[in-house]
Amino acid sequence: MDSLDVPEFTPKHRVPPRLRDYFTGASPFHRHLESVRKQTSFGQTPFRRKIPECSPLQENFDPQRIAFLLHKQWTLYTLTPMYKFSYTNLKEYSSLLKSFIAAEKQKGLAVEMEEDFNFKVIFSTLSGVKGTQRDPAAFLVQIISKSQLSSKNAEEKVVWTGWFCCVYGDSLLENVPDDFTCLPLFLANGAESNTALIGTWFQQTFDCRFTRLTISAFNLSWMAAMWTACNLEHYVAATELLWSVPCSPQSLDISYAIHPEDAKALWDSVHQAPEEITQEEVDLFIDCLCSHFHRHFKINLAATRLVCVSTSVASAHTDGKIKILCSKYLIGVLAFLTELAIFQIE
Amino acid sequence: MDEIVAEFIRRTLLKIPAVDILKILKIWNFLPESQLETIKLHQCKESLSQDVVELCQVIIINWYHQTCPNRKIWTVYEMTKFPGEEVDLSDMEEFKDSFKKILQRNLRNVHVSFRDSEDNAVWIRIAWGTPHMKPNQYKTTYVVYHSQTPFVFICHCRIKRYIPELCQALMTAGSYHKIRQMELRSLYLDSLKAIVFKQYNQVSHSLIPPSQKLSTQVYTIGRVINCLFKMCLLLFSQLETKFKTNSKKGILVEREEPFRCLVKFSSPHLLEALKSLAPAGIADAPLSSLLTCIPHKAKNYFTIREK
Repeated sequence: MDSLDVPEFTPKHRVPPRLRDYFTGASPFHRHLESVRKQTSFGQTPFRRKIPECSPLQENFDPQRIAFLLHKQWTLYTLTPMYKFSYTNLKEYSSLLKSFIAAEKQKGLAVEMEEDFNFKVIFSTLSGVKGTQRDPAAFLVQIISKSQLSSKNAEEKVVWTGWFCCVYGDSLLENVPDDFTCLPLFLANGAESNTALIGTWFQQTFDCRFTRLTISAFNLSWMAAMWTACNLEHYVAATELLWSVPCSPQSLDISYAIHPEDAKALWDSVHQAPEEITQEEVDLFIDCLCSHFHRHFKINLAATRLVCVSTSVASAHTDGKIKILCSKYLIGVLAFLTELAIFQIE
Repeated sequence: MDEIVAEFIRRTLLKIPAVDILKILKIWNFLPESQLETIKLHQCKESLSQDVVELCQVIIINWYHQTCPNRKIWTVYEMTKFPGEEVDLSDMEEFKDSFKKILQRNLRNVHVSFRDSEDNAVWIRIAWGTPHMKPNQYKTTYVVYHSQTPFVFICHCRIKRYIPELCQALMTAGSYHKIRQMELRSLYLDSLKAIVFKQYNQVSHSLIPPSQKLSTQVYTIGRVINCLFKMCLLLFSQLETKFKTNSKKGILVEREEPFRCLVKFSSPHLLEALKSLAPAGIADAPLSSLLTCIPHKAKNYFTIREK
């Protein structure tokens, strides 16, 4: 996995002894994850999952803020638990991060500083973005630049956004010590250099670590099945699977887009129990699609690699980029990503 | 051209005093002298700035299509005359004049500009407007027309509702009687030209002495097609067939309606890549004719229905 392109965390202060214990591997947090793994029969991921559903907490959604999260491409990261992060200090963090960014920019840019400095940092919570009451609240960080053209009616522009969340993740992380906040999934939109810079500040301030979250072909096929299974009143996109063929001298991409109603019909005929999806069903769904394809082109898709899945619910790429399109299933999508993030953190 | 850049150039020009514009443009040095001469300086600054933006756009678009031509999809239309009608030798200038007049008569607020290219073709840039709306200079259509050929290459930028007017103007100006869209589209204009003008055949027949023809023909055609398909990126297949699998689980067996799919193959070396599938064990040999017939059928968009 690619780690975030930031300098290794080198604490300026002494690492608290308790924290050291925590990362030596014998912590309750680790032991608990071990036990969770043993319970799941499929090694890395569970054999069956619930169909994504709307969370009861979704009533707390602020529609405008949620709309802001949709239709944007987010790069996924995992985040280890943050030490001594407090929701009551968000204002303070805003100004600390702002001065950190300003100081870093000053190092790199000797000229035109004033123009560059015309920005603000806002930390805010995202109410309702959680699966259960025990999930810690999600929060959003935005970097907003003010245009310098005229100070009176200055246009504000969001140049970078990142948000931290944990959806149905608390049961796995319940043994984490009190001083830690577990928000294993981090999503960023904006210049990568900004993500790196802000990541550095978080790493230094909360003693946590960011790592890029990539999505395996195996998990992409789960997404294809789970998102096809969702009941939508109207579809905005086809169910599209993108396969990459590793042939020489150049690669070949095969996009296989299925009419969303037909994809749903196929899913309904493959699917058995109303509330859950099994590994067998996911495999059968993908096999059926491959077999229909083979009938026309005599190409065996199973020998190629699934790299991208997009549906009306969301789209995901194997390199860890995601776009969520449907607010109704936002929580369902985040729950699966949280699960993948927790497995990767270990 | 990027809309923001275009708007930036336009606004910057509006701020410059009219008497200095030519001087400034010379300093900017992105328009050749010959084009600077064509700019009418004695008009209102609004239209003057529009003219300059357009000149820049033509330059940039030409450069753009030559160097990074993979952004927009080109489609091909073929026009036909009445049976028995002779080949028309009408002049390109007449064509341009009549094309522009027809469009402007039908839609009034349409902005049409032409640029001759070296290969005997004319590039037409159309900014669409209506009687009540000024032409939108940022959503333009490009048309490439080769005189004395029935083929027109069209690249639409989002606005599609004027296609009937465009087709009508092309037919009338070129004195054709019918126009149809071919099942051929690509991000690369040059590969489309190569297919419809059958350049690979011409090369193989005209350039090789008869004695060598038999042995080298195959090689030459292969080589030329290869270099064409280095550029031809896409192959589309629309499936409208019944869902059938080998599995015995009875999935969708009752279903009568077709299972609707759109399959798209893309590669920087499409033909080469497809050829390598069977040896790599990814496809059954021989390769389906669907995947190999682009050059001789002049078609890369297929609709497949149940026989």
